[in-house]
Amino acid sequence: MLERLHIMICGGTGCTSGNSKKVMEEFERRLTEHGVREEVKLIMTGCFGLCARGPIVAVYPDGAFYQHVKVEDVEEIVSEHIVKGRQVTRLLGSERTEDGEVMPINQTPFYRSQKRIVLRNCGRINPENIDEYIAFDGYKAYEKCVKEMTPEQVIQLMIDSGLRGRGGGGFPTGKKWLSTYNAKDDQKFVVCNADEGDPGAFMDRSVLEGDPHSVIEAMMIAGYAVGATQGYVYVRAEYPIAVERLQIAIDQARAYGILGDNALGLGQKFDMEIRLGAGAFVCGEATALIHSIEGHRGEPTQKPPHLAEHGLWGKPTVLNNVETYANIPQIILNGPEWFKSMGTEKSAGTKVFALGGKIMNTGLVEIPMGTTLRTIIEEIGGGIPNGKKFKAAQTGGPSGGCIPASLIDTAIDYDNLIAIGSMMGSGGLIVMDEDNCMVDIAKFFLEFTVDESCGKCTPCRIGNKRLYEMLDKITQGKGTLEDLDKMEELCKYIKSNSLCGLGQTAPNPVLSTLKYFRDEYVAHVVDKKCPAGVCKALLNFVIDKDKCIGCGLCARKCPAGAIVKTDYIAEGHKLPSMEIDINKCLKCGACMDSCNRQSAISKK
Amino acid sequence: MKSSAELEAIREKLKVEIGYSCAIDENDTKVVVRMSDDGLAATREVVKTLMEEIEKRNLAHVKVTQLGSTTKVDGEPVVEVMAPGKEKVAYKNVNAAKAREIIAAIK
Amino acid sequence: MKQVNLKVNGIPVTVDAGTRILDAARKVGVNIPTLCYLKDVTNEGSCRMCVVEVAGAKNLVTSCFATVKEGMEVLTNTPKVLASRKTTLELILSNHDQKCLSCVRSTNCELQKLALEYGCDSYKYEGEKNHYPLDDSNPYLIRDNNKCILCRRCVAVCNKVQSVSAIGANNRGFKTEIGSVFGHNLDETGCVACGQCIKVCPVGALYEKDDTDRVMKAILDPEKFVIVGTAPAVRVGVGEEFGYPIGTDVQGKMVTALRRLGFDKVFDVNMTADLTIMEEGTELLSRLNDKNAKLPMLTSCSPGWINFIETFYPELLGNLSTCKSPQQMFGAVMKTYYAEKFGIDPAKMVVVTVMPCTAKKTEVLREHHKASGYPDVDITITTREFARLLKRQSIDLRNLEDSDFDDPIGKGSSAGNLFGATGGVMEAALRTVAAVVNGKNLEKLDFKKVRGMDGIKEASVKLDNGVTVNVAVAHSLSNARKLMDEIKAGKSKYHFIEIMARPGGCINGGGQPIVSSDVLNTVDVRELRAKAVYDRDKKAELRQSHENPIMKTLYDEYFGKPNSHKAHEILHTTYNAQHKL
Repeated sequence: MLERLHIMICGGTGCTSGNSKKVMEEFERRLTEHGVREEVKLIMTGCFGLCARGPIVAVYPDGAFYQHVKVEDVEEIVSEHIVKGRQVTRLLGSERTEDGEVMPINQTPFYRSQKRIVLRNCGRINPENIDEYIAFDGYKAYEKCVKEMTPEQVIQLMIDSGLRGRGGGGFPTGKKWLSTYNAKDDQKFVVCNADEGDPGAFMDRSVLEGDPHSVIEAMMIAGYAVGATQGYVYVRAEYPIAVERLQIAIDQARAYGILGDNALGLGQKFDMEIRLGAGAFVCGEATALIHSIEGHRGEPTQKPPHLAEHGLWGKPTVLNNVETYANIPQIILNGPEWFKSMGTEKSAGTKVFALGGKIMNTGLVEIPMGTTLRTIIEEIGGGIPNGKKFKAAQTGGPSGGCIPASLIDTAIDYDNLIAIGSMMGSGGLIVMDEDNCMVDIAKFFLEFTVDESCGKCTPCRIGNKRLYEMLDKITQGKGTLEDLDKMEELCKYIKSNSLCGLGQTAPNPVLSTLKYFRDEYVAHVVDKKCPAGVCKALLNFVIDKDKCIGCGLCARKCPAGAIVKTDYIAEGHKLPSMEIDINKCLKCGACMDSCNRQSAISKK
Repeated sequence: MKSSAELEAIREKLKVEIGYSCAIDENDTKVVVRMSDDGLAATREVVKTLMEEIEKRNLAHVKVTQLGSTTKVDGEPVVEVMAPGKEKVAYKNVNAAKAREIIAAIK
Repeated sequence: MKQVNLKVNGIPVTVDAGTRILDAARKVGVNIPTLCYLKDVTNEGSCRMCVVEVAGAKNLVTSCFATVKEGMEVLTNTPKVLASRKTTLELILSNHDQKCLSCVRSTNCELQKLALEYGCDSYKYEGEKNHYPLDDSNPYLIRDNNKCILCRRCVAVCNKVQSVSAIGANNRGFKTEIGSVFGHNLDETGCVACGQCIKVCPVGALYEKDDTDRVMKAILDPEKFVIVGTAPAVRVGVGEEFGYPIGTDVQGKMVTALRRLGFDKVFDVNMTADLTIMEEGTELLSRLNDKNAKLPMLTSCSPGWINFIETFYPELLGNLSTCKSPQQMFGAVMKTYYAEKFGIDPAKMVVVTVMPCTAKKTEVLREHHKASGYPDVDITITTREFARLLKRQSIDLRNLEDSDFDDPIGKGSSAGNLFGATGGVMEAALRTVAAVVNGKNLEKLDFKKVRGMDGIKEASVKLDNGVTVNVAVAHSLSNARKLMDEIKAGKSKYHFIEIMARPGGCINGGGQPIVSSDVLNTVDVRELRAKAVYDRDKKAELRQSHENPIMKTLYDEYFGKPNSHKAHEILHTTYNAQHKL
């Protein structure tokens, strides 16, 4: 019988960590207890994106978007809403309309500026059920291509749409397909880059976990367009759920004869396999990825020849990112003009961002290109928590640069970001506030790059390492002004000499923070101070001896035994004040946290 | 092995069901059933019938939703039908038979 | 072939399409420095020394890899390029164990040379340095990863040219280290000791184990009777260490130098090369006449090749000739025939050989090479060690007069000398085999078809008895592998195959003088050294092994005839599969 309610429980990354699975089990139990199980469909679905307020439970068609749902809340939702039709207002968002009603979720600041195309099915289907994908126009785009269009026409459509690679490179997808189509060989391949290595990025993961068929369909379309019959999805091994979902989807597609020798009886052949990564960020680089699939050491090699002519096992290969693929079925169905109607002139369509850091609404968002950073931070992101001031936003992960607060009105698209010294990257967007030290941020990213370097070429292997050492020196208070110039010179050398994109972009965080926050660097090297109060070596924890009441709590908490009694008794106090021995101090801050009189201990 | 036609059949079969995985939008005909705790038993019957009729007639874009009240609703169960571009129509003291008529009236 | 026009530093040049920028530049006298590039071996572009500016390119371009395009404008020495190259060198130096004063490659080190040219400050980028333990687990070479600059030439040569794949890159990033699978020591792997890796290493990260102290200890021991034998390839190689042009034959001076070192007797291993021909030729003929015999027969004088076949093709061991190599026959003859004839106690005899080869250091340790009850050969040193020894002993090779090898059994024919070049064993063997079968010497002794640097060469020789012998010559182990796979598949059409582990044969052995890549990239060193070998043969009076009077002496006085029981005991050996990772 047709269920009257669908309860969509978010199974995305954040909500799963928040126990959404247990929530689902509890719903199962309570619905049965109340005798309404048959009236309700329980679906574990893909990421809704509002991760900051997870676990999310959406009840449709009512449109109740429950947030922070704990296992203990389930009984109330079932007995009040499901049975009695009374939504549990305390679990709904705090946004209200002008009439004082609960604001429908798609009108809230978080959602109203978003356009969910890549993420269209995340939140409305069970990703492990191919029928649901099909019901939402799944595989219709593929049918349209094979029935109504020639391969050349499909490629032209892709070119006309203006879709650019979403993995970070921003290379026009149609142009890439055309090159592969033009290459002559007895076999060609379609490969999907699902290595997603940027720290904090989980866009591709959400697509694979929430809507794997969209990738399968897109790869089949690519195969038809360029003349390939075999596909590979290279997924990082750290995504076991994504691998599992994708494999289920592949198996289901095979069972339906969609993947195989005669797709849907329309005469085309295409099949695909998953290949696992093994923990190397560098294998997200195109040539390294190809070599990894071939069983070699995952190291980049030089181009030309490009993958389109000489890729996997020497054959012409299309390699695109998960998000790029996820756009394609909709582009085919709705046409290139529709896609171009969103975004900017040179950057059509939308981009998925993983919003993280010092922002209220951390999570996954999909916005049209050209949306300003201000909209992302103030409206969608809900602003900076704890009343702190916005300082900068980092895009592009370890390959990108930061956008300072002064440029908050920058419209986000490929070319604008490059113009200001950053890059789109795969979609990680980290927000920083006044308590972040930009030198420390640069060091964090460089530490990552140094660890992930493949080690083949001198500039990256040794250059980035030395660059990191210089940054570390600066955060330890041992840097000089000359070091800043030396660093900048080294950055430029690494950028122009490295063999692959990893090395070439590794200095970006350093260069962009030097450009926009040079005063912070200067404070570190000249004044030996960290203005944001982050770099431990430059901090001193100090007890104000006149405010200290001598309770000794801090001394008990101190793991280094660095706090001792002095002889000094402040006016009006009974006990002698405490004092921190800076030679023993570990700068952990435990004392400051424990002080009853918070203002007695401060860091300088 | 599914053919293209079979895929289309799946789409047709599921078109009503998938509508219930999404929020109500301006293209939907909203069917609101209002009651208080006293009218719950009767409401269950009505809602069940409404859903059966929708399923039978394979009507996509018709969304049934319950709206519970803490105080008694006059004439409960009340069914309000809001079709796009049309005035709201309210039905009082709805029972299974009336429910069938209500759905039949929606085209 | 399509032609491409471009400009290098403003100079117009026209080359075939597909030419690399590096080669196009060289054509007009512009030499772009390289560190990791090695012609026909590797051009991965990892060192970044060869970067150049190309008009319109976003970043600097790798000239050893990128190919020319019509209208390309290349600038090889702009300030940006020079600064980049200097920084590259300084970064490499910052992670390099700078023991230049004691390093065996000092003055022949490509990093040292470039650092000097670019005026590098080795302390500009001080920071963490890697500290690795040395791998000296095997008897022939030492790997010092603290000096390694990760150019990957050794890996490329081992994988591509030799198809042994004993080494590769382990770990990643700053911690990348050249090593073997799962970090095992080299002696546990399938390394065949060919020493190719040493030859291509631009710095002192790989070098042969030095046995010269042992040699001097023996010479200075009044109790010991020390005999030295020299390989054919040494006389056309050692001169390079003393400033002679590549491919100069310095045999006469070499002999004098050895005598000056203090050896009791200086003999020529070419003599036992002739002996090998006698034994092996006879063995071939008997196999040809025995329809149950395993054919093709494979030569057995290259120990790197023996290590290879024992590791990778143990099922084909029956095809190997049972003859020992000339080196081992040399030691065996010295400690049996010579010791007996001249009343020297073999226990007090020390046989030293000077070889172009690192694998010989494994051969001297082989179990079955103790014909006299004592190891056939005690110590073998490479050409490089020999040169080092002469310098340390203040022996100035250039100013010595020529002299000849000692009698009575010191001299070999020029056929024996051919062993140094690829195809040489085959040619020497054919001269003798044909003479034996035909009953008379061939009129034309040259077998040009088996000469030269092609990877696999083949020839057919028609003997007077109507039999046609099909022969093949292969050098470098990847070519050997091809022939072995053919034999395994039952598709081999040859009767006799000569295999040399080293590309070019012994003249390019693992122990020969190391030639810098900027020479290797422009000149075929093997051809030059081989030419010296063939020139000696052209001018020689004694050109066939069976005509060497010493052969008659040895057989009449001691062995009876080739392949006799005594010959088998002393001059032949057996093989075992090697079980390695």
